Amino acid sequence: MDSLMGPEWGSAAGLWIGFVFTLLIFSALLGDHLLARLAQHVLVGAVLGYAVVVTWQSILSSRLAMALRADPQGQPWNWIPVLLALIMAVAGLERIFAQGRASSGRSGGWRRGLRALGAAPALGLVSIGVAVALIGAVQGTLAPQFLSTARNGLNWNAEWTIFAAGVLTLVVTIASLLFFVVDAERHLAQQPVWLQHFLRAWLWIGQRALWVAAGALFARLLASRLSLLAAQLTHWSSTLQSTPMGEMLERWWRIATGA
Amino acid sequence: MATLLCPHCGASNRVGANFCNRCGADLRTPDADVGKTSDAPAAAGAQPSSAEGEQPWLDPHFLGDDDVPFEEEELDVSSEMTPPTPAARLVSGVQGLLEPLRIAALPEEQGASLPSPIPAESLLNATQMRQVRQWMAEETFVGAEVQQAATQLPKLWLPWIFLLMGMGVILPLLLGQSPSPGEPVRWEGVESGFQAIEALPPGALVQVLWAYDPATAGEMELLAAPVLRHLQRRQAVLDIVSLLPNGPATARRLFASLAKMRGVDLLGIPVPPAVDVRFLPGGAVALPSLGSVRSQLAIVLAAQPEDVQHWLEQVAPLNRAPVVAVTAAGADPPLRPYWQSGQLVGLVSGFDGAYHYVHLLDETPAPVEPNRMRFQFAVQQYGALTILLIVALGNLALLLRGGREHG
Repeated sequence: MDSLMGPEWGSAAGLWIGFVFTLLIFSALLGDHLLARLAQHVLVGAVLGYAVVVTWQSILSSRLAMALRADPQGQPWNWIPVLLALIMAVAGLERIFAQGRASSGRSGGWRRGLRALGAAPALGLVSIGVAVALIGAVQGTLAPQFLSTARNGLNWNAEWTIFAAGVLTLVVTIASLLFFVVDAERHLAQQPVWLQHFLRAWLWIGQRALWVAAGALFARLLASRLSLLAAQLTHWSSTLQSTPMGEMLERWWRIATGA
Repeated sequence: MATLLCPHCGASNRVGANFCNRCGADLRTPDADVGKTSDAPAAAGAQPSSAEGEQPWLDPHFLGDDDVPFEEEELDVSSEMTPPTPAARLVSGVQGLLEPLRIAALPEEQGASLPSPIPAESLLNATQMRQVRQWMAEETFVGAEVQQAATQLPKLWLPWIFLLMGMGVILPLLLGQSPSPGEPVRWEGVESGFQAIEALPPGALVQVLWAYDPATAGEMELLAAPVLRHLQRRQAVLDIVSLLPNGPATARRLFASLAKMRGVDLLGIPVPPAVDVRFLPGGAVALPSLGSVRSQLAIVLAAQPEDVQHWLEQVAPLNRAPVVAVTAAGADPPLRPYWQSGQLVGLVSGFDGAYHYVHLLDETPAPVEPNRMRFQFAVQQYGALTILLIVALGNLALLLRGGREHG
């Protein structure tokens, strides 16, 4: 029994379970079937379960519950998240259990009040999230990127190659933006012919620029996935080689290839 | 204005309403008092006129709050619903390997014949909904014209492509073909990232954002391992934080394998005790709390570009620490502008970035590492060649097909 529960047995079991689940998920290529779905459910369930345990252990238990139990009045602000969580939980449970049930006038008012109260913490979360994201986007992306482009985009005194690159960047950027905004059929029909030709040419450039950009993204994404594949193959081969089955397969392979 | 009185609570509702605004009772059932309408001034103080209206429980057919059949109510509600928009993913830690499990919330989405005011063709079926979600989850959506063109193309049988890809990668390796000469591309940003770490004084505080999990560890560990070894060699004090629940475990595993395989003690540096990696819940919203840490350098180990972007937006403007991004190859193109603007002092990405970083480290490699690198390089090369072949074959097939159709 000890050998069954030992680390070696555990790692071997982990290897084979992982192998089977990899094949099951991989088999989704052949279509959506029960076993592939099952493997995905198990994987997502395990990830979620693990996330809950980690959150409890590293945050809720160690930082909140233990602090409150040790000194309930020492840090009163620790009760605020508990209170907000309770309100959200009660309001959420009420919504779940009230589904499909009609309510009388008095209980309807009580429920509406509870739901409004439960929305308050969610509203706080969303509004804080939006505020943080907006401020971050301005201070970390929009402003620095704009300033950098304004400073370095078109340098009149630079070498002609750098200057040409700046002009090309400007043209391609505007063309790409135009491609997203202007619909040739809808927006250009009433325009003069020369303007139609000019804008259509610019849209053509914008579309090609986007294709090239998408191609670059795809190429790097492919490199990323190939690295993952290589790492997985390395892991399998190194793990399998150290097992009796791996040694046997290697012997067979050597016989088959004459190596 | 004509209104409709609710038979249950007496509240006035607009004519044609299906459910009561106050109590949610079904106003469409035959036994409901749907015929009763009144003008608004009268309805304001109106009460149900019948005895059953005042004491509805006396009616033998009365269904109380708890007696409303759940299934009927659900069906009525669902028939009024529009198809849901794709919901946010519950599990962000899986990092795109799995599509969302919940395809749609409507039970009748597969075309069941339930009465619905929505025309059947406006409801997306499961496959279409999955496709839409995939588009929303991925970032390679280019434009409507490309999409329209794609629908006219013949369908590809995906397993063939994967089979070709697998054969293209595996067969040359199994048959012992050595990879063609050459070396990975040397992207800008690797050397400056190396120099930023090299310039650290001993004992410098370095913040590390651990933004990858086991799903992408295969690629990310190639990059993270040499960078962390370098930091250990510079005797940096690491403050490691992860926003992913399984980030800390991934970090601890890598540190353990570094100590075991590479042997940091070979470099004359004592192996550090157990690494403390904090889990910070709350996603990007929690990041500004790290802005108060006065570190000398920040390293972001990320499989997705958004994690680096979040750090640059939320933390870097606060503590002004220079940032080195160590990312998967797929995250490189969106992050290039940040490197060019100087917001990133280094950008090490993909297998090629790891390859050159290891060379810059100039240390005696562990016995298995050269083989591993060679294998990686071979897979990258053969994989890229196979994809080129598939693209060329696809274009050829399209050309021939087009020629047949027009000729």
